[in-house]
Amino acid sequence: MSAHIWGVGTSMFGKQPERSTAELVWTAVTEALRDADVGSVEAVYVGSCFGEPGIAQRSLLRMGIVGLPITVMESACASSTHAFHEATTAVQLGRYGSVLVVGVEHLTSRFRGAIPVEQRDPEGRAGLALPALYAMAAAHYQDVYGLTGRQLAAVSVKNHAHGALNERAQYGHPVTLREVLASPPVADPLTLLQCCAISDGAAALVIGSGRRSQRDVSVRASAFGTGGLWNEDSPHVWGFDLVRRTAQQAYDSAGLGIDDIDVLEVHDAFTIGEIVTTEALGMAAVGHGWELLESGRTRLGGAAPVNPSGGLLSRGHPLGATGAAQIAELVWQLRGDAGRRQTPCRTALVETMGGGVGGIDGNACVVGILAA
Amino acid sequence: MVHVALPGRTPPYVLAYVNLDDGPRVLAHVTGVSQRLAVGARVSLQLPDEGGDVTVAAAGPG
Repeated sequence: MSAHIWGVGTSMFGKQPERSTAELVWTAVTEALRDADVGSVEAVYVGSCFGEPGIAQRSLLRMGIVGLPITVMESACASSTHAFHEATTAVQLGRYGSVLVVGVEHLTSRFRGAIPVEQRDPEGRAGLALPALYAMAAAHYQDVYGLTGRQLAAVSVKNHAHGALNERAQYGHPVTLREVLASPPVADPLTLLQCCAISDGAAALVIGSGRRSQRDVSVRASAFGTGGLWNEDSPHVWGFDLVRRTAQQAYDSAGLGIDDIDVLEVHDAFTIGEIVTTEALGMAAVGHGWELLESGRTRLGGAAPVNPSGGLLSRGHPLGATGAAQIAELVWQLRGDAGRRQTPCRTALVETMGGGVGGIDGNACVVGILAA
Repeated sequence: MVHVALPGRTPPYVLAYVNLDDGPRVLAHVTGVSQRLAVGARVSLQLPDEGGDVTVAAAGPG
């Protein structure tokens, strides 16, 4: 069976303490079901990271989505991309004819500031907040490859410029290089505007068997992996090996390569993340990812825009909702429905990375390839 | 160098991934520095501090 994305929907993104988790889910799911033109689905796969016990059933019951198999998956920031991968696989194997994927996170009711570290994890106990882990990668790139602070900050400028065109984005305005560099330091060399903010939001997808119309988007490949041991044997920064390995699986499965991809949504929780990820995906050689920004290739208007939605930095990063939101953006792009953010495209790639466990180079990574 | 506050930690503090000469790679607090170390800098492993943190000190001249 071939898996297709029949419909997508999202809530607004940003700090929304006045809205309940359920309200965010209703907004996204209602839009996705209408977009897919279906009244019901056979199963629901939910991705959430900090969601409370029962989050899925509590959010879905008042929509009448009850009595069917509901499964919750957690892969940190990649939770709903994980759910997308499993839904795709279930449809391909013929287990279900249609699956609703929901990603949801309500971070303002969970904590303030950086994501809390796990005290039972040696690296968490040492005070390695996620911004510090990414800052370590950025520092490595500065010292080993000569990456400058301005080249790093250019990722934030690009993605905020994209997000300014997205009415659902957390930040609806562009930022200047000067503003990014002058924002408060978080973990050297990352400044505040190079780190995604706390956010609330939900996103939903309907994955179905078969292509019913030209609006349905084909899932050409989906790959899911978890990190290997990250130790002195790896010359690469945290996450690189996992993204590269997962992307290779997706390319092999689709029979496509990076040169076939027209538009991408990737994990830019921190500016350095986009640079490392575009290298791991094969868009540039290691140490040369910054050139994609300088040449304009990954900007809207360039040959292969990265994060046209504004990415995690501007659209926002409600952890569990992020993967499904990335895929929603790519579906709009592939259908030609992306409005002011539209880029010409036939084939798209989504990549989401989850982290937080010490000793491995990522909790989980998903890479998906979609086609119009 | 970490500038954000985490429970039980007073910023700023300096962390480094250290490849020990015979392996493995460990995460350590760097003592006695006011900025991050350059990649490739040599450090010496210290006895754990009273809080149980793994600490390293920047190797002095010579």
